[in-house]
Amino acid sequence: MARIYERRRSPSSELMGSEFVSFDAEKGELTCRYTPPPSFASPRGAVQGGLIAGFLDEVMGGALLAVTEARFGEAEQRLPLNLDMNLTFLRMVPMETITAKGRVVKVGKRVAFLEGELFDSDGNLLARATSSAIPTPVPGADE
Amino acid sequence: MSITEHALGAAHADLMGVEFDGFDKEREEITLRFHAPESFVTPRGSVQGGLVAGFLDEVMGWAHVWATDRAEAPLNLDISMSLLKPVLAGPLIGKGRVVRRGRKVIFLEGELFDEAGKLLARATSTAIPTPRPVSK
Repeated sequence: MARIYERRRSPSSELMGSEFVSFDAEKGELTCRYTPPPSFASPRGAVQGGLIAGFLDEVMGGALLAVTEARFGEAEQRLPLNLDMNLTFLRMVPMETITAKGRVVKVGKRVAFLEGELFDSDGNLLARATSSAIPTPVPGADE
Repeated sequence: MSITEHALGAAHADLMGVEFDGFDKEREEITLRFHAPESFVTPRGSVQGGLVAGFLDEVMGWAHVWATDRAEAPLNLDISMSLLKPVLAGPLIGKGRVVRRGRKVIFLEGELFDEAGKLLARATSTAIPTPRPVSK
């Protein structure tokens, strides 16, 4: 069975066409690809700025899942309950498949610090995010 | 002004179920209603945190559009957001304000409430004013 961070684990990840690419345990870095649905388009013909945060949240969340599993085992997997998110928009995010990288900067019992980046197919940095979050058990994991 | 006119056929506005509620010219504050779709929900049962920024961007952007009599729209440079409470799928109310409007830079803020008026999330944004892109 694929690991949880390798799957589309929610309606939101379905919506964004989430695809697992790789996980680097040493760097604590998860790489995914996303394809923006047509419904994310703004009148500028690119992804609406706010919705760009959807991809970044998704990849940062996946990174925390992957890192906590790698370090503490499957039973201690954690998902972030985001307290805040800070986004920088460097370039327009096109309506085509983009690559996202999520990293765990630090994870403790009570707080996790995450960061994420989005790149186009030429490797240009499009947007970045940082987030502070509370690590919580994966919902439904006990069932 | 009709709802369709407001949404301007922008796909993302339909996705978030945007409806115009009111604009206070003096405060340069817009009120919009949303309907958060089920497709935004995570395994926690609430809207994915990142996607909450979609609603906040929308209210902040339209505050600027209305404040300039629909001549300009913001190109966001950054958004900072605090997530106070889980946002559930269903109806939401958003308020967006122009904090400062200059020729080169504008400062915006937005808040998202549930129907009972409880504050769920807030954001600030720095943006560049641009001529408004017209989809149709």
